[in-house]
Amino acid sequence: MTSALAWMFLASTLAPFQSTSAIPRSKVESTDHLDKEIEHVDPRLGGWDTEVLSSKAGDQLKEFSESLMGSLPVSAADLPDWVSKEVQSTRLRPTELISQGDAGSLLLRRGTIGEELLLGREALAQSMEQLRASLGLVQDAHAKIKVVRVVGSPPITELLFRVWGEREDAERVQSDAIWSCEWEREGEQLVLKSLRAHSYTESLAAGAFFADCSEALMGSTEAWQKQFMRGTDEWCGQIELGAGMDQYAHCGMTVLDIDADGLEDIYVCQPGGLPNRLLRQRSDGRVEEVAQQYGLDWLDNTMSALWIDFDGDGREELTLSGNAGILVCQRAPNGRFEVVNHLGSTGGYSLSAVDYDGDQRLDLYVCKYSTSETKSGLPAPYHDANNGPANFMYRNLGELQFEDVTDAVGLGQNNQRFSFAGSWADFDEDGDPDLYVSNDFGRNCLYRNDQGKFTDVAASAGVEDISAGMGVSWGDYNGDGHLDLYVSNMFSSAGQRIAYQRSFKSSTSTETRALFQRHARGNSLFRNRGDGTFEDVAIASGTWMGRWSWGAGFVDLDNDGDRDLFVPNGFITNESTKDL
Amino acid sequence: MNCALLNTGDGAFIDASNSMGLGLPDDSRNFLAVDWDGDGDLDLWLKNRTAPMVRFLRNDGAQGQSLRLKLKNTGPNGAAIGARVEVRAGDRLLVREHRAGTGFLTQGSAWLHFGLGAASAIDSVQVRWPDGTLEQFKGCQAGERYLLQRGQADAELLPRDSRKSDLRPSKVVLPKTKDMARVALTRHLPAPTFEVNGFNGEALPARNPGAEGRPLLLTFWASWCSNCLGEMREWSKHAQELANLEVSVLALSVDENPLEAQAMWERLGLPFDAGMAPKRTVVLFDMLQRLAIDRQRDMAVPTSFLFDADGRIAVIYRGPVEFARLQADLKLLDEPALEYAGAPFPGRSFQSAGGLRLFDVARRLLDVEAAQDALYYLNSAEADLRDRSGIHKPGDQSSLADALMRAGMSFMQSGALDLAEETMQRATKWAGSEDAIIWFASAKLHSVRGEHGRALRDVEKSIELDGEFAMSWNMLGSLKLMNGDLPGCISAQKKAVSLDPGLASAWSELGIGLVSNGQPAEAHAAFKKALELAPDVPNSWTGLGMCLLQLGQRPAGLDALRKALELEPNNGRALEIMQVLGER
Repeated sequence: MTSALAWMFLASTLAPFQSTSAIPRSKVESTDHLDKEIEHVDPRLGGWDTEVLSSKAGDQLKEFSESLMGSLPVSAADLPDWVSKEVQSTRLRPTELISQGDAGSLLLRRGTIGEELLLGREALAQSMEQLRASLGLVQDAHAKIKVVRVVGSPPITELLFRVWGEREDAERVQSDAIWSCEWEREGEQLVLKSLRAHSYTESLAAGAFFADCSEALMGSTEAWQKQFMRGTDEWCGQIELGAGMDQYAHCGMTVLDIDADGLEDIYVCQPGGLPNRLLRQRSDGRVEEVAQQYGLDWLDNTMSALWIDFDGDGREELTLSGNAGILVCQRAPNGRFEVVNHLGSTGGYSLSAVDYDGDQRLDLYVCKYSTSETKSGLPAPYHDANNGPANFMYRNLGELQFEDVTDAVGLGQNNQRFSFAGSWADFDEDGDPDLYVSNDFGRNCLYRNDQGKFTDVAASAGVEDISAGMGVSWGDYNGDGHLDLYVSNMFSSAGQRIAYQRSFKSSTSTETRALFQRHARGNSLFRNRGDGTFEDVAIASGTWMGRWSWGAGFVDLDNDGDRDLFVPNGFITNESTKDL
Repeated sequence: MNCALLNTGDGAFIDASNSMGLGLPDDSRNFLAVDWDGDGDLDLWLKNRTAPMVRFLRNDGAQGQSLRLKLKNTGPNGAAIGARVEVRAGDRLLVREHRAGTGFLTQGSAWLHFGLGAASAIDSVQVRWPDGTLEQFKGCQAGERYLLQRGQADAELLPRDSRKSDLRPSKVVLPKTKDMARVALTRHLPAPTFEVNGFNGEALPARNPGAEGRPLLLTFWASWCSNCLGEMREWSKHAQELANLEVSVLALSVDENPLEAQAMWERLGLPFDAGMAPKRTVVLFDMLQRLAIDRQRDMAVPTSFLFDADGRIAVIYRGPVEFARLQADLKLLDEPALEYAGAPFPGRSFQSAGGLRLFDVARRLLDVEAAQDALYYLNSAEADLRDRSGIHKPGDQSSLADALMRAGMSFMQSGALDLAEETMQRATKWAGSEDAIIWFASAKLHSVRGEHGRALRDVEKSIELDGEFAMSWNMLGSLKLMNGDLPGCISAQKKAVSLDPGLASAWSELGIGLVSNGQPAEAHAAFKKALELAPDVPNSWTGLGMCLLQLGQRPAGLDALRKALELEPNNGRALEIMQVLGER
């Protein structure tokens, strides 16, 4: 099928009577993946009215938040003049907060803010003062406002409001709430008619819970001083693109023990043109960089590495995925690693090892993500792309030889996606490992394993999660013994706002619009019901908001026995925007 | 800002990123949780896109005890990947599966870590080995670490990690970013002949570095740029040595005012060729440096390109070129291509760095409307495809056809119709069964050239390949109308609007067909629709006026015609009718 956009391009440049507003050619014809993505998520390009509104509301509220961070009491006179005299507001902090969990040095609190509306600027100033005084920030104070939705007329902006900083005694506090603000337009200004706060949470940590020891630990290595201290954007300007340098920096890390001394080491994958680095831990906890010594200083663009003993000789191989394909590197007698098998084509992303068929040998699953195999260079359709490269299941034949069994074992189903990550778990507790694959631009797969044969049951299990899937993590978050699933996705407040507007993609069906809305909603936490199906509890559990998430995972950060979530996130953003 | 969502044990989570010191300004991709310092809690390794690309965050806050287990299986899967461990402590059940490769591009620790909170006693530890065998292990206590060896039943207590981390936390202070660069290309990049102007704006002979038989250093500079002047001063210090080197130098100014450039150049008194850079030359080299290095980065001044004796770009310099550097690079030109020649650190490579696909260069140049230069690369790509068709990716032929079509369209728009025709013919030659659009474009070109017969042939071919596109039917209808085939026009335009009811031109031409065919009532509806979609099209108003007149609604008809003339005072048809009606 010829791309509809290409037709529109011709139409707009050639047809004399064509009324469709001309689509600028650079946007339509661009093969740059990033441009496309920005086009999809940056609503300002589309000239959306609500975007102006949300941006303006955000700017005004920023002014508002300053007083919450200050050391002076807030009075009605301090409120900006765009706060209506008849403003109605709820309290901004609950009168009663309930402590949650038993996290020791970390205090987590939650409370309910009543529906009661107070009238006037004085009342709002009092609520602000209560919040300000309770936070008691003395330094390093910040606030962040993120408008997630604009609805109705007069418009109501729904936003996430966070304020944090340090109090006396180096105690760190953070307060989060959702605010609904109702506005009225008066010329260029928005006048605040009402402010309702809900979903209030607070956390307090005595001192630095996590301490940044990067410099102390890596500071003596050239890798740190010259390589890690410069970001990907800077390296992009220093290295030829042909070397595999790319601005996305989708490069992973692997824990290994290269010298079998019982201390764990870290292998850091790097974009093409920069060598991968091996950080070997010394007994004092600092590292030395030894990739060259082990022959692992690959300059090829490397996405991920797997430290696994595939041949069962008791010594691990290091298997790499990246532009050079899948490289199985084995330790030679001289201690250096050499490539002993070169599997598959390029585009490999996450690697995982699993004994899917119960023959005691570990097999290799490779997720692939590449637009170079699509004719247009773009995933299509955007919200449910099905023109990606196939993922591979390589069965281990012994002696580091592998056989592609993807189709034979049923993993060829729904296998034309853009797969960032796959993760194994026996979710149905029948003894064999099942596989969840998260796909960008569309639906994910849950391949149920029945004695070595797979069936994609994502739809019936309720975990298709049609969205921009990035990472996958399995973990039992509620202690019922069943493994639940956390999928990290894109959250774009801009995408979120736009997708809820009626004019957005108005020519498309309601169903498609719903998919677009979902696409920008955020992360998903799927509770395993224990009967083979899942329930998405992301909203109820407060885990949907991970911003533009990548490799999120379950981890017990505070040793309290509950699985917490850590969500690394970010995108190629412009500092000045209030989004992402 | 990364998120730490803390599980409050009641099915919900609270964001504590900032209070825990994890709200760093990084653009992060993945993390590893490892008890690096052996104190029983999980420290974090963070991998970022931004600097620093790696961070280590030590956990100083967790207070509860933990249990750490390492598994040792029998058989080839010694690491017991796939094992499931269930720990019971008090009223808690803690489940982990040991997996290799989770999250996003990461593989975590071989240790299984169980936070225990307030629980002080371990009631049971059960391992389900990868083959399904269940085994209970005895002897585990909170706060310790154990090796669980298959078949041993007793957990083997490992000595406590007695190390004490003395790492001092510090805020990472990033260095100032580097903007200047010297990037040597592993595969030298061919470049077309480029235009050069004199300081008076006159066109000088175009430069074809490939025909000059010696290396060329092309530098873009401006009189207001201090780095440029620094570079020039450096060169003038070495003017004699430069003249003795086997290299030509050409300095092109990007000054807006050529007089300033000329004055400065004369003051510098350098013995090199110089002139002004025409826009087309700037666009070309800006795109080449983007494609070779960083797509996001505009070409700055000074930027220089070192061509080898075959006229291919070998090195790109962002910032001043020192004489010694140039001298060294000139020596490198004769060497066989070095793998990762431009890599800033040593390392090994499995694959050599890839060159640019000439084809991608062409497509990018088309994006910036540099069709002439694009054609240079398309010629090479086409020759390449013809010679070695076997090793190309599927879809390459279509892509080439598509790019040639875009070049053809671009030539057509600039009025170079013969070149457009020639290019479009090449496009149709490579077009496959999925490339209906190319036949459509070819038809459009023929119709612009007034070759209606050939246009008709090509649009029919386009419809044959893909009958679902309204634009083709629309054009078919227009061509039929020109041939006086009213029923043909009407049915084609009806098909067009049924496929795309938003296609105003099809509604309008449907109206013209209908009104010409004596069906004013139906035509009226079609024009109404056309005007609803595109109110500013004069011909639709003219057509509407004609219908209204035919339907006997003279005042409304005249209004419509006046509207047409308001939009287009020379609208021939409307003028004609008005005159006939004596209204003009």
